[in-house]
Amino acid sequence: MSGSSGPDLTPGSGAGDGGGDCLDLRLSRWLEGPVPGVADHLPVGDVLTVQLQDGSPVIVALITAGGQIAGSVVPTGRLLTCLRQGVPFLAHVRSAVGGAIQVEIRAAAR
Amino acid sequence: MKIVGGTYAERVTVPAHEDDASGSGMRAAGALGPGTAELVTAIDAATAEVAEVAAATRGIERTMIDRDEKVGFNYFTPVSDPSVDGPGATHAPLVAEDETVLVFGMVEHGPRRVRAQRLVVDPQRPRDLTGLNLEGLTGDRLGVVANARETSALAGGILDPARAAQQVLTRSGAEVVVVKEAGRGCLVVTEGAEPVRVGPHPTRTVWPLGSGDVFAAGFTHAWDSGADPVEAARVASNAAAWWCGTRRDRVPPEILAGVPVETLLPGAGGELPVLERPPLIYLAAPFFTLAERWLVETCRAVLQGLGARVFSPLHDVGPGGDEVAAGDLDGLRDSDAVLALLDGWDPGTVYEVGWAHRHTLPVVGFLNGPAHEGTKMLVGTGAELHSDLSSALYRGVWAGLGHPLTAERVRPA
Repeated sequence: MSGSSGPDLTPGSGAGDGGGDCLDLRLSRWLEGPVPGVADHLPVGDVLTVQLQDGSPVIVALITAGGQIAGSVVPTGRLLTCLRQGVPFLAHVRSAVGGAIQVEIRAAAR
Repeated sequence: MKIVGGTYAERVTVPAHEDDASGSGMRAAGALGPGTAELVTAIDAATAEVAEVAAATRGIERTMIDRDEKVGFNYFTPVSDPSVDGPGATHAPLVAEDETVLVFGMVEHGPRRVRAQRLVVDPQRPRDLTGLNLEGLTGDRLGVVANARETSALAGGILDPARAAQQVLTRSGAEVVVVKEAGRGCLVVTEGAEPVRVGPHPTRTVWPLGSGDVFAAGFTHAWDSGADPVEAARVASNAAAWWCGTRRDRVPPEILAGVPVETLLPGAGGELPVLERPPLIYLAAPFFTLAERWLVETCRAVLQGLGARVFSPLHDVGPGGDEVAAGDLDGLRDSDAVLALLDGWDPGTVYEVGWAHRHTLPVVGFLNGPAHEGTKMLVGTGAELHSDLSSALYRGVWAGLGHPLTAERVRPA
């Protein structure tokens, strides 16, 4: 195959050293370092974009629809690999109690 | 304060859980929050980046030395014994010095030199433990935090926790030995004083993996801050309850400072008084298929590991005909609480639950399958239902100790 610049989302594409593929990845995480004024307004059901941000080390940030950083999450090696391959991931807000935000991270549906 | 301990991958099959940078050291440092303790850990090249990202995200200061291979723990459930990846891993020389240092036993082997005025050691080796490994460790004052199985092993097989802890105290020269007893809290043993039991703080849901790490972190931090060993164990018990009930990396500073967990965590209880007589839990369950039998065996072993006695119709009466009913009900009559395994809605199990309700016995149900109309009668008559096995098991023990249940279907944190 030539001319393909998009991410490989096919099952068994072997992203990450765990050998799994990106579409299978499901992570439940707490939002770390919640940004005041942003994270505390996230409703259950909201969807954020998972974004790899350069740095030393990199950070896996969650971005609101308005483009604001809400905080970050602890990734797995597989998530880092998938994000670097260009696979889009979303974080779905599952609970939001007293400033504690729990999200489920999974690949965005195509 | 420094924490010396492992950074390991952690996988659980049911419920699904995946963390590439967990382990005792990383978890304990994360629990204390940014700027509180520096982590000294070992990491391999393949895991280095994700460990750095995890530590940075959690705000953990760290020194990472090299190890030669990945190390990970794989659990079928959070109450199952793990298989360990990389048991032969070795690390480069490890050095740590501070006023207070918490040292966890590590999977990796290698030279270490740790010096502290106040040294806390948690062996973290539930199997194959024959003695407290203090090689390379120097502390003016020593505290040992270990679970009941480890303490027994360290004491040459003494099963009574207080006697075993006293033996460890004498052998090691420690100032305090804290025996973690899971659902029954912990026992604090110091030289020349009567052992003091610190009860658990029940939470609505329970994620037990790593609770011992958070306990050790809370104890060491409080001891470092001037608390006496019993006060420090109380802080540790609250910190562990926070972790079990929330699975959140960081324990609130208020809890580390001594505020009871129930003031911050809805549904958490105050310190539960623990009777020396372990509670008797009736294990109501079908045992007709391999899967059912397997679950019964697992639950029985875990309940016993949590410090409960178990009446299991399968084990204590046996399979048979009509004659088993009277024996089963005799066991039910003597029990303090019922743990009912409800998947499949076995008529005998449902009958036992109804009988228990009629005789005011608390009932915890475990139901992993799809929603069922039958839950209405159970919840409507006071039963607490869990889809998470760990939570159901712990709640069953706590109910047997007298902790009130909530009549509802509880979802895992």
